Amino acid sequence: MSEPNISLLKRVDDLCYALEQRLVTIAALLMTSTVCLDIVYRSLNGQQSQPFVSLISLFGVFGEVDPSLKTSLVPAIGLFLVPFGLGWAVYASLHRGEVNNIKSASIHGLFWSIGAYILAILIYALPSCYVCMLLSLSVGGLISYRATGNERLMNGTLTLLVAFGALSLPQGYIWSQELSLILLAWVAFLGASMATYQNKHIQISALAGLIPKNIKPYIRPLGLIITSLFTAYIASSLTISVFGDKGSFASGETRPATGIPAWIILFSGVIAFTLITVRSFVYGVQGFMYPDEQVEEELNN
Amino acid sequence: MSYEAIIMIGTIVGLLLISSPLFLLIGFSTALGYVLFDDASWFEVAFGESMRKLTDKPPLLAVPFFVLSGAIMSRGAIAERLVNVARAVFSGMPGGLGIATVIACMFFAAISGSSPVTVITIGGVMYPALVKAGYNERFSTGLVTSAGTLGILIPPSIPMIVYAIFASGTQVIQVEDLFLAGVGPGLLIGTLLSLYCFGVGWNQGERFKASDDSIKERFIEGFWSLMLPVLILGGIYSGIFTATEAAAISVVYSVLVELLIHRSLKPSDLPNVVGESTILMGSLLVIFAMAVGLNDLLAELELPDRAAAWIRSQDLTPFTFMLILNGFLLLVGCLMDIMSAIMILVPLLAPMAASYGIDPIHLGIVFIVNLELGYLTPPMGLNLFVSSSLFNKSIGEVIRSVLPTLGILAIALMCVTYIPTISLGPVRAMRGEPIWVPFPSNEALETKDKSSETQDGDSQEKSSKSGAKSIQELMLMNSDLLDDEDEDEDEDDETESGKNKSKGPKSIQELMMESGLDQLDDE
Repeated sequence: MSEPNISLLKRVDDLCYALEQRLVTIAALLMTSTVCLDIVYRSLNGQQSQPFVSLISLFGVFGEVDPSLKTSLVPAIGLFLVPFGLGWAVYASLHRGEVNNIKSASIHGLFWSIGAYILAILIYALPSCYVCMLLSLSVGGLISYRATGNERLMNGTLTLLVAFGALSLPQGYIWSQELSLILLAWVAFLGASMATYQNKHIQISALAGLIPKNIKPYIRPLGLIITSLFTAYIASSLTISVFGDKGSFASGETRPATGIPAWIILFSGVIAFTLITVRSFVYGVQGFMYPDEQVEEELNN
Repeated sequence: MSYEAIIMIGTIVGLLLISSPLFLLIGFSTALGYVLFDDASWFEVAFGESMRKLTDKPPLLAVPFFVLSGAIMSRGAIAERLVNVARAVFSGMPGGLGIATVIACMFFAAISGSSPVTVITIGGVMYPALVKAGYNERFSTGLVTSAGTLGILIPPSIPMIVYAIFASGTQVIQVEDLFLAGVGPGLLIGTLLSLYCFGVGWNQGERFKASDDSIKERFIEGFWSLMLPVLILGGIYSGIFTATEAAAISVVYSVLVELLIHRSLKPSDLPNVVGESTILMGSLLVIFAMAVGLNDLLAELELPDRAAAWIRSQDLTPFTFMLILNGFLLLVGCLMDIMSAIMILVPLLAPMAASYGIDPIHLGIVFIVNLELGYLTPPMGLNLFVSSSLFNKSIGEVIRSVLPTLGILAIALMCVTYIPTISLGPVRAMRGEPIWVPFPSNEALETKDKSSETQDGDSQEKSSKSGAKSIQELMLMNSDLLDDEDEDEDEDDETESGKNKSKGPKSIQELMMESGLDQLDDE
């Protein structure tokens, strides 16, 4: 393998890694957001959980407080107090920890509480697909903020894809857990591929000390080649599970809450294990070609 | 030994010699196991199915969320804030600086979720301070190396989530219960280590006085970091959200705090932080996917049941069983990292322990305390290597330095093992049940065996083979009970409205009660 080819492979590898990093970032933030949206929606949904009813019941103005309402009071009060406290702290932080101006800090906190209520009402009232689209655009905008040219392009494209994808989500938030679990599969497998790039897979090296010193530089490359063989086997096994005659693609099965095709889940494994195979093989061959560099890298790790 | 077993052992040893990634070790052994012991062809091994199972386990969502919130929180100056709070609180007390180290390590490890990172971060700050305050170097090294291990007992604890998922293959365990069960042992170990510091400080006449001892100011500074465990526990036990949802909330909370209050994070830093934590998640979850396949193989070969039956045939008392289990887990902790040990061993050991009447939540805590010691024992004790490189000491010196704290942890382990109330007490209190839980006795087990033999004609044969009911049998009984419940809905409505609000799967405690195993406690 000549130098220019290695350099080209390295550039392709780096580009793949950057793309994986963006994908998992968006997926992880999306997972977090959807679970939180579900909590807010559930807290506000239903007659007894509505903040207004809860707050009235708090003071027992209209007779004895219904015991079941006591549990629903917590979200309503929390929705006021937590943003208020956050607002206070943000104000204090902006003014280098000085909170002498209690009035200004309180007004700041109040604005945060009002903002939180408006956001909660939007989550409650707007169809979930629009909420998710707005959220995707906000999160995408946030992480693209001050990003450089290529990164901004990559983040922007992925954000738009996710935002438009969100429009196809069904009403309510019953799908949130299912979507999060599908995203988890993507995060998990792409994360495993990224761990190969960074050489950060968990290993048991209890017996590694038994290897003679003169063979040691070739052990890691050997391990990488064996890994690539095994992951190639897994990737082909998963490809059969997805695209085989009895695979999930042919069966047309969909997930019940989101309507997302079931093959999307295992497809993450196909992509990730293929990437791991290619990476492990190339790193392994490189390791055999330049054993001294491998030793240096291991020492650095 | 059969040739299949020789091939299997040879393969595992070979993979260990080349330090192969753990997912390869587990995955390849699983595939080979199916081919050798289950007469399957290589492409009949259902890896797809075990990977699809990742999306069938909602508690698993908590793992990436907690990893992420830990990574975000650790990004800022959280260590310094926690150290300042602890120093201010324990200022002036004999051994105050040592106690402050223990407390800061406990909180930091709980929030960051990483014991080695705790050694680096808190140790980097506290070790020079301890030496400067007059503590000898050996004590200081031992303390900062050991105290970080406490984090896995304090919620949010990722090993506990993984335990709950893997033990739930045969029995239902709530992550929330495990979190609560970890609090008692965590406090016990924290107190013992603090007493040790107090004793050393008293002998050395150390009276550390914080230079800026305004507790109020330091508390305000560290308030938002200290509130994370409070928010998680408060949210879960006030019923606002589940453990998984608490994990998602903790991500939002940490982003808000670090972005807007501590200002140690910029929006453009998020992809890097998430990317770094995703690598940890990925390396963990790919092992998880492979371990699910391994567990399927073990279940297919009925190994957990056979192991449980074999161990019961050894005429051990529950006391001896737990002693052997502790010895085994200590050995495992020396050789494997904590997550891998849980994923591989829990499905095998949980049925064995259940056959001795050991509560699965109690077993989980014993498991975690044992593996906690693994951070401090060679050859795999990660904290030893971290300390060795951080404080420029030989591994031998670091090992000698942790010996006293290892002794303290061993005492705590014995207490946690043989006094189940330490872990189960808070869980029972939360359920409104008596908090005292006696350790299962042999007499009680034998009485139970005899009574089940005479009472139950059909199940008598099975019980006499295994000595006690297996978890699978208990689950079967549970499903029968559920069928009966369907027939007598009216009665059920009255009885279930009290204790069991839902008709979901029953906890092992309930199963034990229904099968009569709860008599063990009483006797």
